[in-house]
Amino acid sequence: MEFIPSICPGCCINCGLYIVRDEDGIRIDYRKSSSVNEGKLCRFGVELGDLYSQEPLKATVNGKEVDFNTAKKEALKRLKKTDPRSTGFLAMGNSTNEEIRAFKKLAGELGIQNIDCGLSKQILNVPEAARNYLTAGVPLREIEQAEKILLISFNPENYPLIIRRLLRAERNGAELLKVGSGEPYEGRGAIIVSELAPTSDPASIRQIIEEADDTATILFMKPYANLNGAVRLGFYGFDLIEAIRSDEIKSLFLLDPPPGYEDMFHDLELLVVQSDHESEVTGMADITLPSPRFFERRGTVVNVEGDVLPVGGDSEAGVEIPSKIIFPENH
Amino acid sequence: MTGQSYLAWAKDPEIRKRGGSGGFVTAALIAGLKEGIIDEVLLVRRIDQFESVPYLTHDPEEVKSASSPQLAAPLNLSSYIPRGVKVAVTTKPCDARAIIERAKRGRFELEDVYMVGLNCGGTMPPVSTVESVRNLFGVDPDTVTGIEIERGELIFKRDRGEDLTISIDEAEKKGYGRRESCKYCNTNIPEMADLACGNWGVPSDQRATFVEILSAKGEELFEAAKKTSMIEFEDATQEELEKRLKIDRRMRELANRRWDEVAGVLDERDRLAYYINEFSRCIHCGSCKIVCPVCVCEADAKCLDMGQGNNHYRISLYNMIRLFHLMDSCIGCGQCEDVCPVDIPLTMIHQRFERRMEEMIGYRPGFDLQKPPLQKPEEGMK
Repeated sequence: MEFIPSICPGCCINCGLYIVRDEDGIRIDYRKSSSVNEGKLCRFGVELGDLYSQEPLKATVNGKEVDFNTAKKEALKRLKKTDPRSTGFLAMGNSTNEEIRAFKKLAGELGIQNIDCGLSKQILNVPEAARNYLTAGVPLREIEQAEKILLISFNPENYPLIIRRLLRAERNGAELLKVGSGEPYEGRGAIIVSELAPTSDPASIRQIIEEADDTATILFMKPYANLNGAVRLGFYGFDLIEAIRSDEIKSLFLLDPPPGYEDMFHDLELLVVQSDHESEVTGMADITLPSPRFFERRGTVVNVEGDVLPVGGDSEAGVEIPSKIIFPENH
Repeated sequence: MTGQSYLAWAKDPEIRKRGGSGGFVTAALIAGLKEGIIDEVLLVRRIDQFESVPYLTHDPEEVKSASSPQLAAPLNLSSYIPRGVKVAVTTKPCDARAIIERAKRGRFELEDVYMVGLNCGGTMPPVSTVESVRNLFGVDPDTVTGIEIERGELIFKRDRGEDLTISIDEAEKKGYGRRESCKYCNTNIPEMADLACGNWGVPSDQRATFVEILSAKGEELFEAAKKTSMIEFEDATQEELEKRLKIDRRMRELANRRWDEVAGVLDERDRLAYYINEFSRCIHCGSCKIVCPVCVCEADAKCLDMGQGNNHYRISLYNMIRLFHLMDSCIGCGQCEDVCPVDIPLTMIHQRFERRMEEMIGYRPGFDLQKPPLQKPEEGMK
């Protein structure tokens, strides 16, 4: 019975939990000392053991299982052959800071500037000086003590661990208002909660920041584990999602893809995927590179409160893959 | 010997110093292993003062260096008992009651489990306890090396600097202190375990454990500790016995008073409205079922099967089935409430049903191997 302190990769809250490994397999247990969630989990976290018990991804080239080195060499060979202008690197925040940094470095070494965490469209629409609002950490305890909370185009059911904070705030006498996109509101002194996701309207995100004065606190919830880290590491600059859909991008290296974007990748000429489990997207990939399961990785994420949290494991394989591709002699 | 009470302590000075209340429990567990009475000991591994995880060992040296159960790491160890091995485990009353209920439901043989019960005045939620150190004393929680509740005082021990002390009442008025379910729990001495151990009744100038032997298994462990010369002991005096019971009585009174306050929040004329309102928040994560030590149903449980989709009217069938499932079995351990992501006061609600059943039919779960009445109706029972 091995208890591994870890975090949930389900969204930017990064709830603390234990991964328990024993003769029966992998399951989760509740980590009540975790300040962000106090041991509480939503259904995604509860069922995380099932995700981690899935068949691990194998190294493949053109759907055929190969050894890791062959897949790695083939990835480098094919990426070098592509036109950097029509090649992109997409990491949507399901990876550690260290993996994203290594991934960004590989893109740079290959001369590829089209990098995106799925939020470039929204980030680039916000003046550079105001972009820190997009990833500002807000202790969830502050929500409980707020006098006024505005939920702008935000459905708390998508982030269930927020619900109890809102309930406690209401019990403490907070005014809680739901505001639809484009509706007027008075944000003075309020905590403004909204969502920053690849599907968010860039104009709405900009408007929230522009209309907030110094007395307001803005919290942008994000749907994947480490979008905060990806943005803070500067992993944006080109709207890859749109460019893939318009066929401007022909080749893509995809790091830890979340579900829900499968339809985008059908028509790519080259798709390289680094991931920890098999999925519909890895099934479409020309080359797959297996990385450790999330809880097995040595690395960190930046959570909703702005804390840098260790993921829990000791494997650096996810960081080493991009490095091995570009500098094989060092490994 | 069953029913006998002693003041006992570890002979080994190191164990006596490190172990709680003179180290009797550590010494008895080591003796159980050495004498082959038990194969394993289920312990907690301390990560820090506010976090610990369960682990199993058969190594006496590991038992020796293990920590006492932590007040601010509220685990229920019953869920980690292995099947098919003789195992000793230190138990709060709610651990012991859960172990008995799980044994009834075939998770393991109760004969295989040696429950070394520990008196309990309540456990505390780790996150708010960390905050209480910071907010009540302005002190870095990392400097805390131990937490105790003694004579109505909550004491944070520190290696450097003075201990931090506040009355439990005051801490709880400020929103800190014990878990809600512990405040109204009225089972403080683990009388359903094999041994009941603690410092209640022990003279304040003596470093010893008050030990009550409650079963043949408890006697076996005590005898092993004697035989291996791991302990020294003396009979508890009448005065010590009475002092222990007086503390217990006082704790029960406070708990019962708290229960009246907590349960009193419901408008008795419209209890249903309260239940509907509270359960309306349920997001069906299933955590309350997963952590419930008396529920051993698997993935095909009725509450999960029938609680799916639209099978509900105002209160989901998941919650309705769990209410009925637990009304004769809830031991009030508070695990469900600890993990509920939307703060439903689950333990209080389940306890309202269970305590009513208890009054009606006199059955109290987790005290013996009697089957829950709703699982095996007696003839003539209404």
